[in-house]
Amino acid sequence: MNDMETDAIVAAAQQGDEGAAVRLIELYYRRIYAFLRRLAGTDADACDLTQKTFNQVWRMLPRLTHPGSVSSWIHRIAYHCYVDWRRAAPAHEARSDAWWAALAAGGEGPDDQAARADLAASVYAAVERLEPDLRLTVHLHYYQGLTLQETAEAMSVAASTIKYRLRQAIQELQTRCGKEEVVDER
Amino acid sequence: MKTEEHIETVLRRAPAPQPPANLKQTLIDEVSLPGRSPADQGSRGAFGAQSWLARWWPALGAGATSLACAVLVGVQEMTIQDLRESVQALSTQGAVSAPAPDGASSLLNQGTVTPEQEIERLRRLVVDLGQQVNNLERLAAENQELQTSLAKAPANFTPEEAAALENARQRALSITCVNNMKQLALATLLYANDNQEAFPADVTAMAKYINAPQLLWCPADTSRSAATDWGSVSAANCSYEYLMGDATAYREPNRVMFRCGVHGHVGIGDGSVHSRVAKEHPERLVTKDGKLFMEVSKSQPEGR
Repeated sequence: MNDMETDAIVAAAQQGDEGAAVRLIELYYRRIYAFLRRLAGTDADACDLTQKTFNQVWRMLPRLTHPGSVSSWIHRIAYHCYVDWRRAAPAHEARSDAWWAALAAGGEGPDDQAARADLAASVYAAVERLEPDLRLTVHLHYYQGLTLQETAEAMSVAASTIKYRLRQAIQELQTRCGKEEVVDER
Repeated sequence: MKTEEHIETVLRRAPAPQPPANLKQTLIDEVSLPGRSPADQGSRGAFGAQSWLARWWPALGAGATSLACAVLVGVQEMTIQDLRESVQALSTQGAVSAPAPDGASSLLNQGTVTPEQEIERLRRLVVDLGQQVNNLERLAAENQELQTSLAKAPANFTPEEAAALENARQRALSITCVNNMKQLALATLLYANDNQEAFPADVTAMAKYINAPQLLWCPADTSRSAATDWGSVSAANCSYEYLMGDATAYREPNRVMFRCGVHGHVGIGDGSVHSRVAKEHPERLVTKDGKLFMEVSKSQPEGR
């Protein structure tokens, strides 16, 4: 779906079209849940935060005069909900390397992709140990698939800052994971 | 593949956690669009109109107000136009029914006037206007005579008129002379005040305290003329006798500082000027130690 179609759905929702609101949920709830699940660490907290995110989306919908990237906007709201939740309940469950390992293993066939899964797990775990800004940048750009511009809008910084942070993040991940030669499977 | 690129690939392929099955329905059930209470969630149509109204009421309000003002102005214009037409109609009707200038009511509006009657009325009007013209011409002639008589030379006056005019003229010249002497007396005292009570040797020494050299000339003095500048001041321009030029002069209230040879006015040390003392009361002027003093008599009026 292109931006124009998304903007039309948002405009309809602003006019009170419930169908448009449902359409927005269908477009974004999986991604927002995944985003928050990676940050929050538990299914329950992620569901909670997803609900709070969309409640906030409906509340702030009238103020959205220039949607721009709706994806960035909703991700920004989701991240703010996560930050508020972190401040209110700092003792949340820390994501363990095992969780990322299980997640990585679940993405591909464990039998013939074991090495890759191991590397992926270590990369994902290393991401969670990055500085908050770098971690969020990685989450939004790589995990959520936002473009550089969308990531910049979601984080309210310039695109050049995002590029810099991504470069920094990759370099740190290289350092933490070690520079290993990966056999090209093709 | 370089490690950096591989890391990026790994990151992009990060698997996404799947949401619980009921999360979507939960989110749909909790949809709460702005402007709608939970009870109105089902009535989409009503909510749509209300939201549209809430969005557009400022523009609609302004437009409605403008429209109302335009209608009001239009109605007022129509009313004004009607009033104008009424006034015009009344004016026309009033002009037709106005009485004739001579007071006789015109019979035209009654439709019964005869040409002979109208001719008679006009004849009377012509006679009246002719009389008024004659009066105006007479008044104009009188006015001209008065103006001419005012411009006549005094020689044409009667002896009494000429004497009265001459007395008035002389009195004016005397008053002007007194004013000149007051200014000269003041200038002298100011000079003394600024110079440790030393008096000027002559009138030209206090030039900066005197407005113009013309003040040194009495307007009744026909043997002299007024100086045009301080550089040309001489005895030929100075009507007033300055009597404080001696080196021993000091401030003495009754000492005569100036004397007018034409009128006999004297200005004394206290700054006052006494009219015609030198001519009409010379006994009041006494000389002591080479200085001229004026005795101030209690019976005499005070100087100016």
